Amino acid sequence: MSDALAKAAPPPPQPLPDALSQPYWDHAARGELAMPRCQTCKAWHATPMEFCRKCGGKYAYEVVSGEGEVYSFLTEHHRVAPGFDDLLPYVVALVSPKEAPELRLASRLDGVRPGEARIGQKVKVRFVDLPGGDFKLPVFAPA
Amino acid sequence: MKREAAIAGIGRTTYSRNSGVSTLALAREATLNALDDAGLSIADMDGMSSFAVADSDSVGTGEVAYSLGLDGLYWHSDTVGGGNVAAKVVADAVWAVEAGACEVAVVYRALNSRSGKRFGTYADPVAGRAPGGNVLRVGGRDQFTAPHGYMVPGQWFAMWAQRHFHTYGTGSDDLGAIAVQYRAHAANNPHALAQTPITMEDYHQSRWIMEPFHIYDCAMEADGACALVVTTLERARDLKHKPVRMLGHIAYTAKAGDNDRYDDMTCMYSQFVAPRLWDLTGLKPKDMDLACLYDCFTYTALATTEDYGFCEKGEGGRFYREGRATYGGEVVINPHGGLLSEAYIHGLNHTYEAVAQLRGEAGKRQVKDAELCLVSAGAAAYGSAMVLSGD
Repeated sequence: MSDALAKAAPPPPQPLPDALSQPYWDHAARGELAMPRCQTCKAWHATPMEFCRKCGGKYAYEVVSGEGEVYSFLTEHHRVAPGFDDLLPYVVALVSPKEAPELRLASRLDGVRPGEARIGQKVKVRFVDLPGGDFKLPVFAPA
Repeated sequence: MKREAAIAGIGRTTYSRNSGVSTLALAREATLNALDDAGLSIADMDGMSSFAVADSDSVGTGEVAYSLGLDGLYWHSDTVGGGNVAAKVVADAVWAVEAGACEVAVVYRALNSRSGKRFGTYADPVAGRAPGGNVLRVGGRDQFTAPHGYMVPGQWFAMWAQRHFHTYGTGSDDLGAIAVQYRAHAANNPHALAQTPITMEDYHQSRWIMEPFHIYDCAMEADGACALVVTTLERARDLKHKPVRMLGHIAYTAKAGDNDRYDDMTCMYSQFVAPRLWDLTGLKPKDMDLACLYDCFTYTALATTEDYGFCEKGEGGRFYREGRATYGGEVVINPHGGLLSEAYIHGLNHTYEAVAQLRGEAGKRQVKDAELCLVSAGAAAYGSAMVLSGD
């Protein structure tokens, strides 16, 4: 590693896709938010599994509206990982997606300043470049 | 007649910000102190129980036994888990002794959680770099959260606290009351890492970590170890101290321990543990003289104080603000100062304190006539708890 590279600001954590999560990132690259859904009983899931926990059926990713509501949030003031120093303090929310409000998607709230976030706030997904690689990251922002 | 087990000894190291020694050295010292406290020797020990989050943050039972000159253990249990198993590992040892699997089991937790691996960050605090390189690559469930800057326990619990604020009108004064109360308790605990009292003004002026948590809402990360000796009740009665019995233990894990999946974030795992534990023991919250409640963050103590039934749901903050959780109130919660002020020995120090209190050996912080204590472990989606009683 060159000295210049060693001194460069480190990027935020990069996803390490596997067979179950690769479709999620492929959809995100196309500007789509997709969630795993059981093709037998139609139950949604927030993160991929091999089998549906309710009926044992197979999951497939389905594109969702990207609309949701803030279930809860925090404001991060502290460095928890490399790559976020320029954003501090930043807001992270748990978002209940419209299609499956019992689930929660964690997301940095884009364009929301500390003190502005509200539980129950309507949000909509947008896609940003994740610094340090080729990933498009779905993030929620005020609808 | 059923063979019954009891806690017969307790031991610990100094709790510090930098132990300068390995977790093996810490575990060994705490084990020796606990055996000595019981009046037993290394040769008496034939079982061990411990827990760790990962290989890197502790040392296994086999290594500790070997370091003490033992060639083997007849019963051992190395649980992978966080604070949620800090009561379970004690119950495991009690049940192993009661089943006749071993005669003397030592339970310990050793960690360098201040000078070594810290739970509050993924980053190298000096260089700001990811451990092991310049880029942190994250798989599994965390690949969906870490790129958002969301990946450490304090953040999960901050979400839960905010939801409680929203539902019940809870606020910073409520969390602050817990931080101030536990610190006042720690002022009477000579082995607490933080003994200097704080005021509500200090609390409000302290820096934010993950809002709504200030620095004083977060556990006092520490280096150290503590240990307990478990043997048969019959044998314990012939040893140096009054035995302490476990009257019941319950554990619960919700939704694979994924904190973001929990249905109602104004409650914790304790909403499931509490009814079963009170039913199992035939006891009620108001029977407890004291409680050592897991307090990785102030909010954990607030939510579990409610769930275990010390007050109504949503009244946790008021319960502390009105002085009902301290000497002269309804129950003394965390007389040692808790993880917030004594030290973050991952919750096993709560059982150490419970035993000291139930033996009547807690010095200036002794709860008068202490006979029954609830010990809880864990937060949010998973945890365990037990009721301890003096013999």
